[in-house]
Amino acid sequence: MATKDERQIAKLLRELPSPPGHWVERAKTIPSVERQLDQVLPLLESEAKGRKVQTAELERAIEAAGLEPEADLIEALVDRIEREAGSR
Amino acid sequence: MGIGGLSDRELVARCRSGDDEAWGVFVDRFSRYVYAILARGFELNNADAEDVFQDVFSRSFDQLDRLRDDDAVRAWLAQITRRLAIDRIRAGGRDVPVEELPEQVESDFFDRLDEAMDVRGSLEDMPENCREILDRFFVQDQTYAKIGEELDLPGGTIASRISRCLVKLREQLEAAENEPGGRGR
Repeated sequence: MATKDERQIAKLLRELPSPPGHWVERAKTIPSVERQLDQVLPLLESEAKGRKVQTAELERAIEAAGLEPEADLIEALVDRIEREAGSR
Repeated sequence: MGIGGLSDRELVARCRSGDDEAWGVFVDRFSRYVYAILARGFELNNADAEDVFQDVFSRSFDQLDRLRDDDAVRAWLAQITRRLAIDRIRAGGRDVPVEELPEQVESDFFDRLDEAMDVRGSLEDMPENCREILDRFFVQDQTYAKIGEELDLPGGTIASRISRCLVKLREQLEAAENEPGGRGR
């Protein structure tokens, strides 16, 4: 990268605004959410082969794993099921 | 040196080993980059940008083991972000010739973002007082009055502080560029 003056540096600083804080905080929870999904999925897959999973089933599986069926976790679970189905 | 000072390679290795704190630093380090690609490069609306932003970090977390060169994590993230953004645009049927989108966004945009990331990296290495005042003024667009009020500084000193800190940042950036192999991250 060529040497820059202060004006160019200031301009480059403006190129990277911060995303909303809650986006960042949510992304930071990915490892813990993934661990929770790893607990729940085996309980779910045995009863949900080849059909669309209902929210109530998801909630039951989450509870069976000893977790709280919070909206974020249900949403992450749906995403993961769709992703895995898509990659098959 | 704190975990925030780790190189990209070291940080990726820590994330791969299941270190949640390292993952938090990873997200902090690259969140602006991913956001800039989505919001400024592909001009996704806020709701789409938020979904894709989460998806990018989720995919990168799942696929860290597949990253072949840990030093190239930034380029790898850019690739994931670009692919998912294009998928989202296609799914939304946006009235743009999608086959032209990648080239359109790539022209100079990623080079500029890379330069901006290097500047940002040097900013992160600066003392807290400089980092904060430069971020507030240039990134958050705060006025002198607001900065003075929030940092409890006399209004007349803000401009000169910003100027001094910018000079320091330039010096730091030049020093990083002169290190063998360029920037240390």
